[in-house]
Amino acid sequence: MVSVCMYFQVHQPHRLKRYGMFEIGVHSDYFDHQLNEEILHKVSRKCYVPTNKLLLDLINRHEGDFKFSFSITGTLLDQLERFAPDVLETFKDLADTGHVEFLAETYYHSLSYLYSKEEFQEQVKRHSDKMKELFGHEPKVFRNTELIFNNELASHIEEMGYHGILAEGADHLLGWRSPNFVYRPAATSNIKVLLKNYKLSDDIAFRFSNKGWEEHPLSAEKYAQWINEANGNGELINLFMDYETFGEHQWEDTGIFQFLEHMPRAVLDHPHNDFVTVSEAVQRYEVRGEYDAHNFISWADMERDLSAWLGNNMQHSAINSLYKLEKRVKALGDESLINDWRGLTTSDHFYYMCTKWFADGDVHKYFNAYDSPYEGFIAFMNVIHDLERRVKEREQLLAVA
Amino acid sequence: MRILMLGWEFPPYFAGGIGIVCYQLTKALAEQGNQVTYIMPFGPRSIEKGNLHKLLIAENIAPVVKVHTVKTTMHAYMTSQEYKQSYVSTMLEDTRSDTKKQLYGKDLMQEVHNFAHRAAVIAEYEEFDIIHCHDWMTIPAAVWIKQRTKKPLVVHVHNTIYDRYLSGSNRVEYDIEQLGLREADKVVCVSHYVRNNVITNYDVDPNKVVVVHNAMERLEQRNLPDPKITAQDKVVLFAGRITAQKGPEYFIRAARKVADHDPNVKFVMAGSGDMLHRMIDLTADLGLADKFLFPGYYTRADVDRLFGMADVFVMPSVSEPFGIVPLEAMSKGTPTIISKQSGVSEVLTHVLKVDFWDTDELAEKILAVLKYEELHDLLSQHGNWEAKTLTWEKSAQKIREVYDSLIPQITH
Repeated sequence: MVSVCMYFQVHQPHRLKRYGMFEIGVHSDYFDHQLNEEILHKVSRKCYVPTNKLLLDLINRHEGDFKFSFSITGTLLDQLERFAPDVLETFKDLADTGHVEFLAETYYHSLSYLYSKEEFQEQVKRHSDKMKELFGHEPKVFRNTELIFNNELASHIEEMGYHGILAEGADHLLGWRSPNFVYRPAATSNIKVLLKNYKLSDDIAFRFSNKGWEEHPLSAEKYAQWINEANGNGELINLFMDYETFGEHQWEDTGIFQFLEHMPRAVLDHPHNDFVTVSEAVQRYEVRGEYDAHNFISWADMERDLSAWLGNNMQHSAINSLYKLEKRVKALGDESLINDWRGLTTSDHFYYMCTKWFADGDVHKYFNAYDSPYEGFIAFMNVIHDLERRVKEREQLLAVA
Repeated sequence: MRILMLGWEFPPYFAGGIGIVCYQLTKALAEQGNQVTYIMPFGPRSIEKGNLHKLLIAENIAPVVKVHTVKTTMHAYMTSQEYKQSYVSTMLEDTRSDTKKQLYGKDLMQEVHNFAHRAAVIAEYEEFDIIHCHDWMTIPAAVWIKQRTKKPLVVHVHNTIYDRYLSGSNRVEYDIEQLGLREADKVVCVSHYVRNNVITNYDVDPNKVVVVHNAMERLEQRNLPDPKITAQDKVVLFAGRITAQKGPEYFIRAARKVADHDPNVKFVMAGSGDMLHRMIDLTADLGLADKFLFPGYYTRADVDRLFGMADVFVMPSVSEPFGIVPLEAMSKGTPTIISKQSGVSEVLTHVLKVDFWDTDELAEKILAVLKYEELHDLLSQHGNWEAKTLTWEKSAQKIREVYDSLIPQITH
């Protein structure tokens, strides 16, 4: 028996304007709503709308034998509510089938676990509430931003009442072992960890359209054959990827939609295969070993570490200045200040400041909203200075009163 | 491969950019086993020939580089007006002016043709596989030699008349450039910026125009103490010819905005040029007189000190075919801001880039580098690393590939 567990990450950040030093104290509209709206419409057209439609069709066609899980960030849902409510409806339609599960995560797709446990819990709670409000679904399985994970986080999430957590199936932690089983995070007693099979996931997410890849072009049948090969030496294949893989990272003309359309049938043709959501995977499969992540891991790059967000001094300085303001912002109890502050916690802002790509000059540049990491840092820091100015002003007013 | 190079004077005797490029390229080609016969314009104020030979020995390339000098008072990018002044002062320096009158042309065009004639005579006695010349003044010589020897010609374009004269034009110089581009078997441009210009304005077959970017010379790391103007003031540096092409006025207008925001900043505008006095007046008009220093012409030895004292270097050029000064700044670890209208911006990522006319954005970026220490330090570290990756070895290899494409049968 092999179960295929697919989870798609659906996220868009609130991108910042190129907020200049001369704007500090002049206005406090930090977020580039126009750009965010444009990008949302573009990604909706290329990915969310056609893929949601196809997935709904696949669920209906396979009468419940095809199912999957979503993790949708609050920052994306904010934007869908504001700019594209009709697209949000198509996500709700999927939820209504009962064959789509929604994961828990931080509302702002943030790195808050690393900097403030209090903020982390608040963001997870807020996200959970949003899931109930929009999809009528209370998440039972947690995934942290960018699959950032360690033992301590797993234990923390266990205490928060979740029965499953997601992580990268990192070679250096698995050693000879396979990611195709359920594991128990070290130092926990009940929670189970589902590990990404990065090879089979990346075959779709990264290599699908690569003409230099020896398996190109990848057919649904060939892919299903690789899944079948796990029979007898694995129980669960976790395919974790960005939802934007479909239509945005892999364009329509690569054949990605035809692949997605035929893949479930090809997998189900083998009598021992089925599809599960994350909760079903956690419930059905026994723990087969311990997954011991003493240091943080993530699903990013070859390094599988935090260096994409926290690799250089600009990133450290920017995120430290942000969390230094947390208590002061919250003490004022002003919703607009808190929302602005939280909008800055999104991991993408720090990712834009990453300088390590320059050496390998790879795909990441494609996702950068700025001309360079240096400009990303400048805009962010200018915003921090304006935010701090507002906080100071309010504090002084309160002191006078 | 045996190369006949029609180049310009080597540094430190001539501080201009093209002389440095010719020297670095020749050195790298020689180190890669090519033989170079180098024909060099040599002025009355040039160094002793003996010193030139010492330089080649010091660089260990004396056995494969043979230098012929041609007496001339022209130097790279002279205007005909500048030539006239140089000619007159040369005549006045010495009373034995009869011989000099024969030696130097009365105007720049005549001098260019004199040089062509003398270079062609030298070439008669030399053996070479390929001709390689640098910019318009050497083109008549190179074309003449090509016609006499039937050897393939590479024309290396560092800039064109469209860069030298921002407004107005010079028909004769244009015609010479076009002649060279037409006769060339391959045209090497120092940037895509120049290549686009060449293709658009000279009606040249794009297939024979390639880009080989300039690179950074290997400098000895000298750890001088950083001189500071005052303890608390930050320093913003402009260094280059003070002429319209280099955008000094945009630097000053951005400086006004920076000074409004942060009173503890000083600006250094190093170099000389036809706009120097107007720029001094402009700083006074804008109330910046006490913020600006104009140290004037600087030598290559001063460059270290200038970059050492600067917290940020700015090259706001209106038009810059390549622009090697940012590489020098970066190799000294000075954070660098360049205009997008420069060839060097094609190869750099660890700098900040602005449109030269956007003085608000330039001021913003200057202030950011001065204010955010982490930004300053990362630009410094990564810039330093990046400048070192742009080596003349790589550029010389690309030039050799250009030669090979013209004469594939020569393998040594």
